[in-house]
Amino acid sequence: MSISDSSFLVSIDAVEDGLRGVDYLPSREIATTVYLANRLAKPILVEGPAGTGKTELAKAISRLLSRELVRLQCYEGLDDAKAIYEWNYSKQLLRIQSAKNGDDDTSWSGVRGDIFTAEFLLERPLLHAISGSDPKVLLIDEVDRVEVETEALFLEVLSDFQVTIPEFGTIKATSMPLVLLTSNNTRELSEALKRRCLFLHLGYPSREREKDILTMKVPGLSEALAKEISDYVAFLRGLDLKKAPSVSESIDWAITLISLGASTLENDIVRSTINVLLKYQGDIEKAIAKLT
Amino acid sequence: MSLQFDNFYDTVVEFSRLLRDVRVPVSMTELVDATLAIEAISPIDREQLRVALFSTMVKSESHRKVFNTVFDVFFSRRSNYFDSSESEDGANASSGDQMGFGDEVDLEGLREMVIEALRGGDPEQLARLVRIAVARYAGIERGRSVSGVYYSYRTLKQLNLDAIYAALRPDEALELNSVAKVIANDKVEDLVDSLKSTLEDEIRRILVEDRGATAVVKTIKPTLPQDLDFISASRDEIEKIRHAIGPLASKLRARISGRARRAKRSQLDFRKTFRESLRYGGVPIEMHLRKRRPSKPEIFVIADISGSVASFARFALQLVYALSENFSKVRAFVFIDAIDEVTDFFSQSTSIEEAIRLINTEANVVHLDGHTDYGNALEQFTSRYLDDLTKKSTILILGDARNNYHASKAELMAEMRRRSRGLYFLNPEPANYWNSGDSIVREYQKYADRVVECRNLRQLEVFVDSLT
Repeated sequence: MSISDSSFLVSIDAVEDGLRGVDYLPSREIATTVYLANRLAKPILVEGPAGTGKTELAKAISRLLSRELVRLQCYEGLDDAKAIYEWNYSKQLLRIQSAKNGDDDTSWSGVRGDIFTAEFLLERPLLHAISGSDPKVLLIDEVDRVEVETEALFLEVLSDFQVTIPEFGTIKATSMPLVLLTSNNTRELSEALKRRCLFLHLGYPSREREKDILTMKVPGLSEALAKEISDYVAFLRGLDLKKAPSVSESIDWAITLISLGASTLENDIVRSTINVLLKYQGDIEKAIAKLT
Repeated sequence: MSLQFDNFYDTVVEFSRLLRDVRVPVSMTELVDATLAIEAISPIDREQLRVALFSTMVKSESHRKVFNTVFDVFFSRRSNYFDSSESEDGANASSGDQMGFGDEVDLEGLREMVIEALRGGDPEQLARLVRIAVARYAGIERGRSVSGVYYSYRTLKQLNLDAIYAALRPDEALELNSVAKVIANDKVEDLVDSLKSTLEDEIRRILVEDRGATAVVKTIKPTLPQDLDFISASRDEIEKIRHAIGPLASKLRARISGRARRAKRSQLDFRKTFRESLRYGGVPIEMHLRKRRPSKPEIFVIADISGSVASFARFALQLVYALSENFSKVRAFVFIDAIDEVTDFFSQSTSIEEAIRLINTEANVVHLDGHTDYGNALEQFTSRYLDDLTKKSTILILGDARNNYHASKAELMAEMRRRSRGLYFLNPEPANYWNSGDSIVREYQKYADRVVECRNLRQLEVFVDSLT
């Protein structure tokens, strides 16, 4: 029961080439997991440190499939009214008011049957993602920010692709979304949620892949410099830092180096620009200390 | 290479059982997903198979290493599931015939070739060479139930790891600027790692061929980070434990402050009540209360850093460090036979290493002879800091309660408990050693809310979870 028959998702190679085509360089593991998510119709739980391209992956998939990206940003205090649906109270009130004025069916049963219909329903991201005729990509971002109890809101959508509204009944998906959840792993997610997902860890890329990402994302970057940058960043990540440089930071660094006209990594230029890569004074000192 | 597919479901079930044996939880649904995933891929591709099984059965990155070990053994090319047409070559290669050289290549020559293969980044050549090296030097004895660490050690010793390092290291004479040198040195480590892992693969392959995958997994017994023992953990293992502490510290915060949030009454949230009242035409039927801001809990950590718990102490300080990033008020104390406050060392230093270095050099923890004395530590604590304890304070004492037959002064702990919100004693020793020899857990058990056996992260997590 795959989600999409799109030719981009028929095989692992097709996913890999397709994502490459929309400027996202997937590892073999990423491509395989995306392919499986489609084939098994399961959400992907994407976990990993900040700045390794978790959100970017969802965006790339939506570009690849030319599907709308529906994004639900999680935060502490998120509730069903903001995640799934809400009744449009003011509109319901207006409907009741106008019924009193007499032009419509004024009986209570008529009004009641009327105000709890789709017309008075405000779609929030989760409901929006499964309704409509064209399939979407649903991104539930930073799911580790909501409380464990709130995770339960997602379960029905994630495993059955449906939403139950008490006054209304169960809304089944008219289109199957491809779902990605991201987590920065600040807390353990509930078993129930994890069980429903395929797991994908996006760690820091290999030197080779990072070099390719840099050359792809930074126009005008020479192959040689890209290699040096990826090697040096890989070295930094091996140090015991408070915050290791992410991929987006190494991209920023490459841009900085280019705009300064550097063609190779000299000590001086590394010293004067390393604050683009490292955000803590202690980390900077540690890295500089190695350059003697 | 082809896959024996007829009983593949049994294979997957067997595999999941092995994962459960090493405490990676695999649920029934996940097992079903795994089989569906395998049907969707081509399982003769080992890497596809690996991702299919990993993404469906494993839900935590910290389990990856253990998963990979089990996977590599279980689906090693010599196991029953891949037929061994390819690895037949391997068996022949060990005689040297296929390589185009026979026994005349001596140890020196072999080392040179290994170095060449590492430099050139040629994994296949490396695998062939390692196969020869293992056949010659590992001295594998068939039928023995061993994990292979010793075979690996023996082979590396013959190959002379130091010589390999020296050969790979960038030429000092070269006019290299130091960024380039730093990078080059870093790569040497990677290359040596790849040699080691190729070697381990080869040894594992032979072990599996000899005794079967299941038996080998059971002998290797890979351990998840959360099951590593604090006291006996190696440096590498401590590193793994460290990575898992962060989330635990924030969980601890949630537990301790969450408790306060629920307990107290709260005020009316006017805005929300009014807004929700629109539902009922402006009649405020449901009352909404403002969520009370969680109170700021204070943590007092008192850690034994004596030699008997040295590696636990390191872990304990890690925990304190993680806590101090999560709680606004953490006060840290360390002791051996005297106690000293080290809160400032943590706040001043930018890394845990620096903090530990400062504590080791500057903290004043030795009073007489440097033998742990809980009694004296408690006495000094109560005389200096007792008045700082309030009903917001939670005290965590980390140590093994081995007191070298000094006086326990447990009644002082009773006073500390009376003044604070809770007092917990986390002990890294197995519970069945408690109260034997100079361990005086019993004395302190009377006054602590709980004395908890805390030998690994799993137990620490259970403790944190129980704080509701």
